[in-house]
Amino acid sequence: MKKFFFLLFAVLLGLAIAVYRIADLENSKAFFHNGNWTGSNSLPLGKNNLLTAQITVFGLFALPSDEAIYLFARRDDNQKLFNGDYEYVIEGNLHDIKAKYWSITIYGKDLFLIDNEIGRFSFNNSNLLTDSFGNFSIDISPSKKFGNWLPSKEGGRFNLVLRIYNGDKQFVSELQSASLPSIKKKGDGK
Amino acid sequence: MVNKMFFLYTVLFVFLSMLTQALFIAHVPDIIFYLAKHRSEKPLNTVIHAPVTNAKLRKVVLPNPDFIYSAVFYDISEYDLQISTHFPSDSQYACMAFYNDKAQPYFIINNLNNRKGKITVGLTSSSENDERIKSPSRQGVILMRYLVKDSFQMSKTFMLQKMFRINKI
Repeated sequence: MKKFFFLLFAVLLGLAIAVYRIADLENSKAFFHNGNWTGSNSLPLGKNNLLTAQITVFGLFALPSDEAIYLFARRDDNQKLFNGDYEYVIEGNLHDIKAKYWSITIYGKDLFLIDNEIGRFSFNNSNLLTDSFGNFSIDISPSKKFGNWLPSKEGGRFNLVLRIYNGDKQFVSELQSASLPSIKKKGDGK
Repeated sequence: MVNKMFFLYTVLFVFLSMLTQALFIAHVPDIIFYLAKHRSEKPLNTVIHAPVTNAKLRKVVLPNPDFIYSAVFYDISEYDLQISTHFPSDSQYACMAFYNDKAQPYFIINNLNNRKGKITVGLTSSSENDERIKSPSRQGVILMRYLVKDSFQMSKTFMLQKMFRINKI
């Protein structure tokens, strides 16, 4: 009986380590960090078991890198996890991201869209309000804001995903150092 | 003797733990694909049209709210499939992506480079037919994505969705 529990413990420990390694997406060697954003412009899907498992769990049915790039953000400029009790602002310029289509979407901790009264989950390069130079700011807040407002949920963690479809080849190849929207925490929260 | 047994059990423990870890990581895509297939609630080789993407859509993580999706979980173990769809003009991005039974993409067709209108392709698991798309597995998924930027595109897309069809060959 002792031998059975000994082997069972080995199996459970192996499973626990596997789950931990899959969940540790942010520290994957396949990803670069650019400001708040983490991602890759050349995911070796299907070649690396761990990375394939991570992408399947966190981005099921994602497109390959030559079709779309997915960058994700979980932390503000102070490296703290996004928290729905606080307000944040995303600032950038419409023309910095050279792609046919790009968008920034907010997701809850469970990686699904956050239900809200105005049915707003994202902004893209067609519907952002900008100044005449293309500068924009998006408020992330659980309470109503004028202009570009992405509703978050009080008390919950959230994640952001920047999608870039059919990006300019040079822009995509230099994505690691490209100018991308910044995400900053506002004030001290509620 | 005690030391030898302790050493053997330690090696066995580490080996079993590492083997479990490697096997689980390698098979996560199979497990996720299996779960997704069983959550689709429709028979294989049947087109599923997802409604407007919003917070109620909770079948697949990280849905893009700017897209309208259609999907088919396919099985080509007994016959090949003919897939037909209708791409809008390239002012509205659309793509048809093929995934194997580990949820990994292996073939993409999009409407860039002025590829619009009706598209018909064959899907096979046999290596004998070069004219058809070769699926690396007998089961998989075909996912249609239509980018929708306004209400006009949305109503047009609902019509396009109906032109996404699957037939036996």
